[in-house]
Amino acid sequence: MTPNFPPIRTAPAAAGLRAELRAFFASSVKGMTPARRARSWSGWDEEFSRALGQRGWIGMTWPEELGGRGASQLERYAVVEELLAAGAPVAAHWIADRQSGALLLRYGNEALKADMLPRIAAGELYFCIGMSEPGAGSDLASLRTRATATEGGWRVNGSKIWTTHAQHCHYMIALVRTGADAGDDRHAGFSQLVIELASPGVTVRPIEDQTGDAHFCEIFLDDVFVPAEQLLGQEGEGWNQVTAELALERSGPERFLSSHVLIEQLLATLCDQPGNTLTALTGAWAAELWTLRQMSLAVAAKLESGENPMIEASIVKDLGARFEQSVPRDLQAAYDDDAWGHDDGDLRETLSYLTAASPSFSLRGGTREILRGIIARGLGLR
Amino acid sequence: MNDRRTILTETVDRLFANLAEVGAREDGGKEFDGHWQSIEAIGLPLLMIPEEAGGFGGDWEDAGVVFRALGAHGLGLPLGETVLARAWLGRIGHKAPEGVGLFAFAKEGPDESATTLNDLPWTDRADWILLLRPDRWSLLDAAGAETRERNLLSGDPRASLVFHALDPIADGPLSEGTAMFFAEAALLRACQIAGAIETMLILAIDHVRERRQFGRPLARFQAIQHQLAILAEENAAASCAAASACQSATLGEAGFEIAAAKWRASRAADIAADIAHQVHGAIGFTREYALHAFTLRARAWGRDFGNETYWARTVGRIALAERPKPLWHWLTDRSDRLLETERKRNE
Ligand SMILES: Cc1cc2nc3c(=O)[nH]c(=O)nc-3n(C[C@H](O)[C@H](O)[C@H](O)COP(=O)(O)OP(=O)(O)OC[C@H]3O[C@@H](n4cnc5c(N)ncnc54)[C@H](O)[C@@H]3O)c2cc1C
Repeated sequence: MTPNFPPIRTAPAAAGLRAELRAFFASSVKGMTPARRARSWSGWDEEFSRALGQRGWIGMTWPEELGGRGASQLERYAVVEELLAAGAPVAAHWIADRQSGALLLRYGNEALKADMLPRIAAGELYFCIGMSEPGAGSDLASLRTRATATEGGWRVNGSKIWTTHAQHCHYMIALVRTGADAGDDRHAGFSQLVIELASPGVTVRPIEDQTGDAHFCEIFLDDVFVPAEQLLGQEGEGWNQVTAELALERSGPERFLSSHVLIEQLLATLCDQPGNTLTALTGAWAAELWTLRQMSLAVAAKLESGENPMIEASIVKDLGARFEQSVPRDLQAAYDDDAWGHDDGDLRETLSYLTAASPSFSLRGGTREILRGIIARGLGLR
Repeated sequence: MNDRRTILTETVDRLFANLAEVGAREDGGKEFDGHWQSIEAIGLPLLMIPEEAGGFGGDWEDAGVVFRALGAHGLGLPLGETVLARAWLGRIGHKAPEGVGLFAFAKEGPDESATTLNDLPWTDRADWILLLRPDRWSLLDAAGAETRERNLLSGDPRASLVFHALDPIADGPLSEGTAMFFAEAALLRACQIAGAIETMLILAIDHVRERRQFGRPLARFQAIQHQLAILAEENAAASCAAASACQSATLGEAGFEIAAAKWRASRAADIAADIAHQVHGAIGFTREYALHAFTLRARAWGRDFGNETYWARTVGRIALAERPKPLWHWLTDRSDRLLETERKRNE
């Protein structure tokens, strides 16, 4: 059987949920410039995250006593896709809501969960992902940051890099080496630690990216103490835990909606009767968007039913990145079409930003080549 | 999938696999009659005709399963054509004749003079043709036409039929135009393409695991692995789009979904055929090896009933006409509404 994506059978959101979200965006997001909205899950806005938290739209799938509302994965999906399509600045709580919270829920001890999850759900506590290192990118298993057992916990030494928004976050969930150096089993000896970034010995240095934003960081860990309770799950099980985390990181609608604000901006700007080129272009985008959404919803339904659709998620992410990257490129190519409408500068600015940002779409969260390798393994080729 | 559909899927897969093995090939086939009888024996040509009316029953999702299986097994029989032509005649209110039927679209109005219908499959085997023009339908006797421009380059035997005088067996006005019929024809092709791509992928996987060069199976080369990953992505996209459009067509008006699905499937057909041929090398380029039964057909199907450009423009016009409503709102509201219909139906 080749990977399959059966269409979902029930609407992801209860009637009224979208309307409620859209009414909220009308007052909170609509006034932002399109170029700001195009940043979406790269846009840091703590006030916005708290407002979302107050409305119960963070950590929705978690149990009520931990700040959630026991919603289904598909309901969360509907909220997340609405946020992204509107270009809401969701970066502050994004990682915590998508993956750190899920990890805590599954592997954290009771005290950690009770302390952290309600604050995440309130939109007040922010997390970043500490996987990559200067010497370990795609080959994550070659990472060198090490935690050694000490009285009451761990001492961590090493460094992480490309850590998104670490300069603003409270915690980082880091994959570190706790066992012996890579022997025969390259995936043995890893553990996940919840590291408080305000701890002594942590230095965070933002790195400016080519769009001019300083969104990711380098982190130096110099004898940083981490209490034993902040080990997630089992010592030595880090690799398996991180693999499950990556399925959450790769499957969502953020993997095909990164250029969506540009599409809406074009539609709002175009004159009444654009020429054939732009009509066909918007049609192709709408058709691909519909297809990707259908595929991504099928993956969400699999997650909901407890499957681990790693290959399907990789397929959606790779196709999605191809789409997100094609949107600014194709628009740039069609820019001189006669039917070009009346752009007061917003469209050009959004296009410039996405043209500059789009190379990262097939890097972050696992590169195109790594995803294709996963798919090929799923096909039985390796 | 409901039980009925699971049984249908298994039944047609088994039947079509058997038929494909007997070797229905594109030469017009000694096997044609035998195959058609096997298909008639289980009532498939009466698919989508309500059971009350003596038909096989089934909705677009059931039909999608069958059409997809035709593509997947490389069976180029005009079953989809017959099913749709009969179902449409039923909707028009005319009893369909027996035998093998085709359909064709023509632009002109009710002009009774000479008419040429281009690029029709299996013209030699057809008994009748349903001709749809913007304001009129006509049922034509296939024997009344002259055949020109035969070719095999679309996988199935295709030809142009010239009717020197239109002398219909029956005809009448078409009050609602041809757009929905044309869209359903496109959806038939989208389903067939999805099936064909799936088999291209399976053939390609088998081939690269078997074939060795430089002392190892081709599957070991990363360049090959990545090509097949892309083929798998295109397979997934075409398949999900076609299945989703069939779901929508079962639930209500599906103009947008069908347009999007035919665009996606046609696009996938080209990408997939390129890759499948490339990883096969010369053997895949031979008449003997089966790959062409999927690649030639998929490409021809991509062209039939609106190519990529045609459907991209159609979708574009729909999206533009909905303004100032954002595309996102329109798309998700529509999808929620369709799924709500399904939920109510299943209650
Ligand atoms: C915007 C952005 C945000 C990020 N945020 C985070 C974050 O928050 N936390 C975090 O931990 N990381 C983050 N990353 C890092 C990201 O996960 C890595 O960039 C990614 O895993 C690739 O690693 P690398 O950059 O070292 O490239 P490399 O691994 O050096 O790869 C360079 C190129 O070689 C290719 N390549 C590598 N190995 C192979 C192979 N075996 N076969 C074929 N090709 C190969 C790659 O596909 C790529 O094209 C972020 C990156 C970006 C761009």
